[in-house]
Amino acid sequence: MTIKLIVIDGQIIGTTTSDDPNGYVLIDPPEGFNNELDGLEYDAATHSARYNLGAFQARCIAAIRAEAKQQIEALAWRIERANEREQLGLPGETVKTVLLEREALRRASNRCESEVLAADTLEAARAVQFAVTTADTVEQPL
Amino acid sequence: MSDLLIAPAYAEIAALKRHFQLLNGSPEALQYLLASTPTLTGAELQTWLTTAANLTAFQQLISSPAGAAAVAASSTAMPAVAASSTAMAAVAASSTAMDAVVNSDVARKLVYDSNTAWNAVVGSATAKAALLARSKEHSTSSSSHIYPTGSSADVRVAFLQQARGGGTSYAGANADTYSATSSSYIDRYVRVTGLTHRTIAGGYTSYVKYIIMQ
Repeated sequence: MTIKLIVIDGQIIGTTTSDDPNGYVLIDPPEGFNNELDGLEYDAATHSARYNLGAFQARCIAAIRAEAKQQIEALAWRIERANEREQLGLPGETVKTVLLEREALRRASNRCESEVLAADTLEAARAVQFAVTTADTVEQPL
Repeated sequence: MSDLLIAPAYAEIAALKRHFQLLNGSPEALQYLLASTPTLTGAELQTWLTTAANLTAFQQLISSPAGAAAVAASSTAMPAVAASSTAMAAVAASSTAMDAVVNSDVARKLVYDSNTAWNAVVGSATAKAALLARSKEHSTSSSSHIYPTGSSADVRVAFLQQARGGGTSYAGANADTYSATSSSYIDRYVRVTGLTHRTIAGGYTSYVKYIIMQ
């Protein structure tokens, strides 16, 4: 059983095995295919698949933004806790500390997006993984 | 005089047989499938079904809910049915029979393990609809493979459909064998022992529809 790409209405919408029972139009994946569908295009003239860097970059950026959004939203409970403790005058992390973490996530997202756009190969774009680095951290104002 | 001591009239016997047929399909086919000694084989059933009258009797049997349920639940008759392409073609074409198969632990496992039975099922729109009607849906936002409810490493699973909520959905037996970038469900209808699925990254969702075949 080999992996095949499924083509529906001129779009590559998934993978399956060569013995798929559903009657889909199946084509071979391009050389170097590693189960990554982002950036794959169907070429009707040659009835084959090929990579498109621009489309791949767009999908990488969408994935980075989705990850950043999820991580930013996951800090909401810590902001609420810090806010309530500040109002009560209790010790613990401050609202500002958590907001600085959120800002670092935004900066990391922007940096990663820039790195994806600067990539000139699929491999370089794929190598960009969303993570906060020291370059993204924000110094707390005195 | 007790009613039990009065011999039944032919008309009464005929009426009883009609009632039996209404409830259980064909008594002849039921007798052949459940009472054969030694236990029926798939080859023997396949040969028996080459006679038109026998095939009709079998079709009548599995078209009645009680008859179909009796066959599907039988650990002696169902292996022969699953091994006979003619019998399975009739089963797959009957929504009543397929409902009985889907509801029987014995039948589901046999259908999974038999290429003859499985090929008949995936070749029939009626059979696929019966599977889908009883399927479970599972979603995950995990980027690592996880088991849908009821699945584990050695559990036989009929993987029916797959979709994504953004990103890419991956499914297989702890592998990215089947992927989908379609927001609408696409058909799979494949057997996967130990089905798992995942999404490409956090923030997205993967959806699968499946049936545990044991």
